[in-house]
Amino acid sequence: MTSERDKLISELVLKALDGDLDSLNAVEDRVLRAKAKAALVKAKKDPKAYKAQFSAVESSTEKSGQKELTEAEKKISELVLKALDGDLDSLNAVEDRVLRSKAKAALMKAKKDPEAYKAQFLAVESSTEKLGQKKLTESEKKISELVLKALDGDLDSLNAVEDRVLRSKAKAALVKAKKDPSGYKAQFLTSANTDLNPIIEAKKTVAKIETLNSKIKKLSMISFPGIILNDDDELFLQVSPVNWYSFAGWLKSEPSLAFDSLQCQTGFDVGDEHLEARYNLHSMSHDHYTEIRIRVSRKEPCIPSVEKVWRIADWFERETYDMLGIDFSGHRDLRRILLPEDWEGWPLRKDYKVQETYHGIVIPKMKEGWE
Amino acid sequence: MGLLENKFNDNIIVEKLDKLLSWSRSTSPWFFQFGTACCAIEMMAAAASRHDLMRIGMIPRSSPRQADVMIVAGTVTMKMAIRVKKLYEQMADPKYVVAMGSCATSGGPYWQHGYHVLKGVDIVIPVDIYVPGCPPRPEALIEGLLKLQEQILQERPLTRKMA
Repeated sequence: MTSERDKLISELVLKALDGDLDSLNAVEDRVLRAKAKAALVKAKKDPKAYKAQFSAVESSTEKSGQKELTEAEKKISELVLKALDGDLDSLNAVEDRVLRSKAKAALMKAKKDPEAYKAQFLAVESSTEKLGQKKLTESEKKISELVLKALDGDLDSLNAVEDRVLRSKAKAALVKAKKDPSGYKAQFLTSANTDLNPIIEAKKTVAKIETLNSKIKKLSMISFPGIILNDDDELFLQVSPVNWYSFAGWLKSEPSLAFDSLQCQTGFDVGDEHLEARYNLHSMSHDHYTEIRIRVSRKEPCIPSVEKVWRIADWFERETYDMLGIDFSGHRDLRRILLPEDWEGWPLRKDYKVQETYHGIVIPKMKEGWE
Repeated sequence: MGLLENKFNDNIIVEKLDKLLSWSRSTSPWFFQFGTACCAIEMMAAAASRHDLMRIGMIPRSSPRQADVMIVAGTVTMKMAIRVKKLYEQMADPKYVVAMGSCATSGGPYWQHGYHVLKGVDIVIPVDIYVPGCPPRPEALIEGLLKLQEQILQERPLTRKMA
């Protein structure tokens, strides 16, 4: 008896939580009504928990009713989705009046934000359909992975695939991808995994720079044939010093490149017989980067100055001159910047010998017995 | 002072005057306000209100002509060494030098491989007090300066030096 009463109370409260207070007020039994109201007050503090607790207790008939309801909802969502895709006829052909009107009302609502509606209800779709779709995307993903590997030189993993269909598809994709490898990479490294994997992010950047470098190479063919000395699968451009000044001006003025900022310029002693100057360029308008490397012989280290192209190069080049003795021809004020002007030698060269004295101050040789 | 200095024999009058002079010198050693590297930050902290060098009579002066003490605070490069020497020469006698931090005392971390660093400022100018540390805390610098004051107090500027 009591359990049935409790059930009744919970039903009333659930109804009341859903906005139907009338059925609670219509209860004739005073005690029951009072108890239900007290329960409602309690339930309102945490309606969700109450619902979760009591909807499990509900009678089986109600449950089946709910199931039917969800099925009707499913049907409605299907109809609305079809209608959103342009197929209104199937909605109009529904014989059940109630269902049709509900579906129309839902459609009106859905039209306000079709994308959100689709996203919400495509997840509700039948499980069989879902599986099919998932398989397709997964095989696509696998193909793109295999092609990316093959492009990086690892053909074996493609050949090792047992599924014939997948293998042939991957091979076809590879043939296509080989026409524009960097484009393919850029496309699939962005679409393959959306989660932020640092390796994938790095690969994306690499692909972006590779694409840019091959683009620069292609563009420079017209006015500066042969100025870029390396292949385009590297992350920098090895440039010949001969035409560097006008090439730099072109890099800055060419609208599709627009390298308006020299972020860093520095020098290296690369051992053997060469010194190298490196330039890191960035474009504000396109937000892309590249690195230029210019190698010169140790005996005649002469590179045209780009101080007139990027004004910041003034001090950068003075520092490189100070440390490595690279002569930037055309620089308007090429003096040492850190060391005193009468210093002898270039300290960052591998073969640098410290001078004996400086203005009468003896410079001690390496001290011994200290370590 | 040049007229009186080192002119008198050791007797009572000279003794008292000597003490007066060395006392007045030791209680107002104005220091030359310049720093060569990071030790200068600690020197500034020592001169600022928390440690307050002025309570021991030390006031920073911006000209070498007005300063008695040169605190060499920080790494002295070869390029700076000639300038430090020139600044020292511009100071008026009596003048004292405090080498602050391991760079100024011995070359510090550049002891072995720094081709451009002077291995201790005592190579170019005479140093009275060495304050070790990298960098020394203001307390350490203050202790060094108190030692310098003791040293100045011991001096007898008027007494004839025995050869």
